[in-house]
Amino acid sequence: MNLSENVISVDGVTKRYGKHLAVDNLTFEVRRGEIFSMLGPNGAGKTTTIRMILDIIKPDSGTIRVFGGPFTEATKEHIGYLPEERGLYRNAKLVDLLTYLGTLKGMTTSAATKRAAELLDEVGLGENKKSKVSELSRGMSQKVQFVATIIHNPDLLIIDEPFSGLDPVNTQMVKQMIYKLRDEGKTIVMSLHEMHQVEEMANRLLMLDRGQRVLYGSVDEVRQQYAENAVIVSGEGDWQALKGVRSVKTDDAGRSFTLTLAGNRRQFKLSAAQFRPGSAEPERHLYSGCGP
Amino acid sequence: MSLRKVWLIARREFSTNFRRRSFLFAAFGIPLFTLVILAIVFTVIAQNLEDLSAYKHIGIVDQANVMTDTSGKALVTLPPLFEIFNPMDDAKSALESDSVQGYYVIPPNYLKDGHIDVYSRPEPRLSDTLNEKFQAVLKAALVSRFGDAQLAERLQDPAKNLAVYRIGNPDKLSTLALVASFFVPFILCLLIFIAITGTSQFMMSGLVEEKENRMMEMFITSSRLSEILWGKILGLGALGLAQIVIWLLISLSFGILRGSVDIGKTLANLQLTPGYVALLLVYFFLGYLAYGSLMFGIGASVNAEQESRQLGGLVTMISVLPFIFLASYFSNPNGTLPTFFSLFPLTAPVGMILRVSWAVVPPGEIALSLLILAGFALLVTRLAALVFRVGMLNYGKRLSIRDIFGALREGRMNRVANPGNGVSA
Repeated sequence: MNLSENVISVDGVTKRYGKHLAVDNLTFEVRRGEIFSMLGPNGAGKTTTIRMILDIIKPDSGTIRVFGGPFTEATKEHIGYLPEERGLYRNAKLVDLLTYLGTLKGMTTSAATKRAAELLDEVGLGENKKSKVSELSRGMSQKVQFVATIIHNPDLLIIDEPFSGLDPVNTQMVKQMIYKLRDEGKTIVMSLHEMHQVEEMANRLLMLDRGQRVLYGSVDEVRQQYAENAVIVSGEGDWQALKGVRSVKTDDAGRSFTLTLAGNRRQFKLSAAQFRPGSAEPERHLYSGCGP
Repeated sequence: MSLRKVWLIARREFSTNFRRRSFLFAAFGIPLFTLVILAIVFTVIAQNLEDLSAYKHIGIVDQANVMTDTSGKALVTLPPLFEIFNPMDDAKSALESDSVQGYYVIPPNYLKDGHIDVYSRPEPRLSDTLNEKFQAVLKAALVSRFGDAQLAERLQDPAKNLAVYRIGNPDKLSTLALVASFFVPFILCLLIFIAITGTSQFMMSGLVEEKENRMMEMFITSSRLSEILWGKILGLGALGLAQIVIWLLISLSFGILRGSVDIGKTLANLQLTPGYVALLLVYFFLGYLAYGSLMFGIGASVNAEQESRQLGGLVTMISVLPFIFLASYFSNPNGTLPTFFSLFPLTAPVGMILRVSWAVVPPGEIALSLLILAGFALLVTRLAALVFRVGMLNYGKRLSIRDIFGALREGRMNRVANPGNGVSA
């Protein structure tokens, strides 16, 4: 395996589904040993990007390199993937299922069984080794799915919505496991909706909207760049004329606008009546952490 | 393609589905139940056939003097069951007083027109066995008139010692072999049909389950699509073969327990030559590959078990056609319809085996049938893989024909676009 600095390199990747442009000329890198977060609204292109990285679907143009080279079958054994839409065989016993998934990732049966038992103990499901998946609660199933993702000790983890369906206690447990993996030198890519989780956990982030890169860089850099109260919107209209807006910065494509606001966050409120009919929809692309 | 992953997937498919209640019922329950029912039915029929204890006496009124002389004395030895009456009124009185349960009247012109009347009480009904017994007595009486005992015996049963020989085999075929040569191909085809369609259904429902459980995306990042496809095909194919073996073992065990089957004799009489068995296995494998891939494609394109069963049922109905038109095989196994069934890929596994069992089929036709079936199976496998690529992540949505053609187009394009971007799933 190539020990390059960048574990994932996405360069000028575009993907179109018919007339719909899902990913538009996207470029970014994921560095070794970091927690990298992707965020954006539904339909932003996060899952499509992840699937292209994993070679589930092919980009229409651009290149993707994983571990410094093209994606091969051997690459799969070094990646753990937890998709957003996920599930398990409902009639399978936990340890048997995890052993099976581990062997598909190149483990021997005995090693997979041993590791499955250890991880089930770690997530508090040690007593449920012989239970069927159908006998578990949703939160317990989610933990099992996380275990299935890391059972083969992958170097790269790609997790879509890691905390979905988890209560606060289990969310904290999974967070600690992710930190531990990071400390072991693993690279973790997470797709999230919540900005506060990104700020808490990620080293670097990539924000997507309509398939385009909107924000990219380290969390600290982004924070400094948008130190003042700001909100990112898309639409049409004279943003500068809005009450409370101090300055307006336009992105390269001219499609989204960063409005730096006067006053503190709690005072911010954009009134829809200030916009021409059919024009801007200011509430559409508000991200917590950059606005109210 | 990693053979190890194919083996892992195949092993899991086999072991998981072997433990399913539906498989256990099909493999063990149905044959056991069928054999028990058949045993009961045949035992009851046999008892009824042999049982003449319901009859105390049966009368015979011989107005044609076929079995009696003019004084009324019997010309042949009658079984104790029968009694000669003369005149007919005596027989009628005996019937009314229940001394006899019925009587046969041989009228004066019997030798001319063969007409015989039978009179009986409502109960017990005069059975076919009793009629056969009477006919045996009558036949004995008729042939005794020739005065030549040897000729009389030949007339009783002209082809009693029929010996059948087949080209290439110096030994005479036993009765069992003659019966087997008819029934065995039919049963084998039925077993093949049930095994192919049953395990193909498992293929389809397994895929639908994996889609419903959202497992596919995780699988496709662990294995190649071809490994998943071939693992499932081989695992479930082995399950189908296991089902056939279980049925055969149960049938043989049952026969041995009843004392009616000599294994060595049975296997010799079944006329299963190595070439025939090899052909059977090849058609089973290719037929299963074609059906399994079809069901794989259907399972990948739908989202609900019920929908998959409806579509799968349509495909299964086509495979049943040779059985529906079985009469055409009896009348002319090399006729138009049997020939068509043996060449059309969806009916060829059953259609050709039936033809080969009951007729001499030109080797060229067998080769053509296998070629068409193999080509069809490989094409369907390829199509199923492409449909799977599109359909596996289409949760909650059925693939349209447009989506499928889109998959074909994308499959063709991806072979030339971005060649350095990794191996296609």
